[in-house]
Amino acid sequence: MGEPVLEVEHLSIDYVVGAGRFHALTDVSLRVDPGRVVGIVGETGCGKSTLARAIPRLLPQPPAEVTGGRIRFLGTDLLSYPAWKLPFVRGTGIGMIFQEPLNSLNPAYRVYDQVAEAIRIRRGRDASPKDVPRSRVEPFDYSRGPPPVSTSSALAHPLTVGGLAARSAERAKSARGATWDEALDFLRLVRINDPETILGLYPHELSGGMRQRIMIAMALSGRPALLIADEPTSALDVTIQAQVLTLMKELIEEVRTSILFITHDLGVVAEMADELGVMYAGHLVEYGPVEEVFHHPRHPYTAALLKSSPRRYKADGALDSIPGAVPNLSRLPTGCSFHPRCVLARPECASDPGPPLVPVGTTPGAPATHLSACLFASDVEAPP
Amino acid sequence: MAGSGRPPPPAAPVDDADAREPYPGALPPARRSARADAVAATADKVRRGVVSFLRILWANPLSFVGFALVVVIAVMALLAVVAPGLVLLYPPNQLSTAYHQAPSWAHPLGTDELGRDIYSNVVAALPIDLAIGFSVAGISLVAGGALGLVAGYWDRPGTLGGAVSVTIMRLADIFLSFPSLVLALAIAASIGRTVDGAIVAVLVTWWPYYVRLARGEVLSVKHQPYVMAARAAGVREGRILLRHVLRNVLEPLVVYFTMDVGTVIVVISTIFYVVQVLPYPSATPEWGSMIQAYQPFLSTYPWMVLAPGLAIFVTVLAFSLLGDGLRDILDPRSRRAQAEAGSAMLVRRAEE
Repeated sequence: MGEPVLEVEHLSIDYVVGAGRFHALTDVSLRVDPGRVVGIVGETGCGKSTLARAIPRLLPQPPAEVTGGRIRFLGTDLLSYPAWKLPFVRGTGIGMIFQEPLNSLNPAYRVYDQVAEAIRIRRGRDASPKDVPRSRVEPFDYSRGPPPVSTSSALAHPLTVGGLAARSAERAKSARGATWDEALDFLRLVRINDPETILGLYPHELSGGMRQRIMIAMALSGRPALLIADEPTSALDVTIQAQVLTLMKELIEEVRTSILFITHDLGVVAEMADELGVMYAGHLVEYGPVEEVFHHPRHPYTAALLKSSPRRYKADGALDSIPGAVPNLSRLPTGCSFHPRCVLARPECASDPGPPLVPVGTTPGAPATHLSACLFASDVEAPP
Repeated sequence: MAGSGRPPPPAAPVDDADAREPYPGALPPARRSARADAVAATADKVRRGVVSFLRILWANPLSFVGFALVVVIAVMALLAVVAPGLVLLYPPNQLSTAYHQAPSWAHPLGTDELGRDIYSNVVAALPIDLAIGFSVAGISLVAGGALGLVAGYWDRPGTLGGAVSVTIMRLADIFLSFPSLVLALAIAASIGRTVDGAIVAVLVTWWPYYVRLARGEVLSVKHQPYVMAARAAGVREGRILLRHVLRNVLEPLVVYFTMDVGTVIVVISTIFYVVQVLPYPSATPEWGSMIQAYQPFLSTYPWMVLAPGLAIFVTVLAFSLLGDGLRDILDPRSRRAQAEAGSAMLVRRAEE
């Protein structure tokens, strides 16, 4: 497999708001290997977006406060990385897709200007490499070669004032032309019809699905080693969601970038991810290959989540739900934070915080990569 | 669409416009030199910019009036400096024996107690009032806007930026706590009766408004998702501020600046009126001083004081109306002409 692209080790993050302290992330560990897609699911407010933003160090501090752990990107610890160097990691090292496609494009610039900015940033770093972690493998399978070097027409124009003006205009045009062509390529990559027209439009003239496609194109145009998609489809209509998801699924096939895919939709991760992590109240409670987690959940929260998924009990009309409510992150329950709502809870669950993620290993044939944070992982029943 | 009557705009990427055939079987475009191409492309860009600008102005008649008035005022001010003979009927301050004439063809705004033509003096005062209005508002826009950008963008408490931000804002608050006109009058009176002194006096009281406006706008823009998206794309902080934040706070700042030119003219006239910087029979006429000089004749010859008063009124009105129109032009979402052009293009593509 080689060196992992991303390793998060025992990461804990608090939000300090006034006198209150919210434990947004507690002891989260995960690992993204090259070319793999890791999905993270969980309810609203379980710390998914905090995790997504903490990795490229985009969380404003304060209010956020890292209380422990490490984030290693291509072997470099980002938490102890000098702040002025961080922009050089973002974009070309770690790319991001946000959940608000409607506002994630600057309303004042045309699509071309925004895509070109991302392309130019990468070109600048290619031209003068800094000592920052970047992927050493080309994350992309480019069907087209690099844009042809435009032949200078210097000889065609004698050294007159008009000739100089024409030459500089031509140079500007060819410089723009290369970026323009590359922007077109990236728009075609995300299946946008008529990219020539779209590049000249303003974001408000585009639909939400188009904007999200352009966000994806911009994130990919940095050719990052790791792409973090933070609920990329949550703000879209269901039909558009399906289109964008289909696109992302196709892109996963074409692109060798590793992806951390964060969502609250179990169906989405089932189709996309290789590995799946389940989060509850800032804890990663279960982690393993997506098939294993779906068919043999080893944490009662995962089992309850699967059971309450709408597609299972359509015939009965009634949906299962998890009793109780998500705990307040400033006053987490003692012991296991899920025990007040857990069907398997026993007295010791209220005092023993349970093991950190440990291999389940009781089921015959279960891979050692399937981890659970439950004391009674072997008692969890798979939903029918 | 409304754009259908006009010739359709050229396709967006002008680069390869020649490469496509406009319709099947079309003759190949005439060969032109690269120079002619570059010139034609630039001319085309300029033409399209002007057309869309005028179209937006035309959509809002009041802002068109404001724009037209500002153009007339600017041309008259320019001519009054460059070629006074074209806009002035008489040289400024020329005495005659026609005292206290009512408005007539020979003297459109009448004459004063020394037989000077009031119209000529009002127009001769235009350049100085306009120059002061623009310089005070312009310096405030640049200086106050820059301070407000910095104060709004790096305002996290406990950092160097936070300390700078607090210093800037408290300083602005100190100046804002005085009524600006009173403070400006006091400063102008203490500096002495010079035009430069009056400008400095207004400037001192003027910049904090821009700091506040810019900071408030930056505070709302910097939390927009597109700013975080730019940060996530690897754009550095200084560039985010200058490219992504500044561009989105520019619109309210420029609109405020345009309307402010008129306000500055009112305030500076008030200072000239009260402090007597240029007592009226001076080489350069000025509206505030003229009103002060003509005030005694208000009941007997009311048109005298009315003329400079109207000049101030029209100038302020023109800049206010233009400011309203600019808001439409600068906001990409209300660039109706652009949107029209875009949709017309889409329709055309669909037809093809």
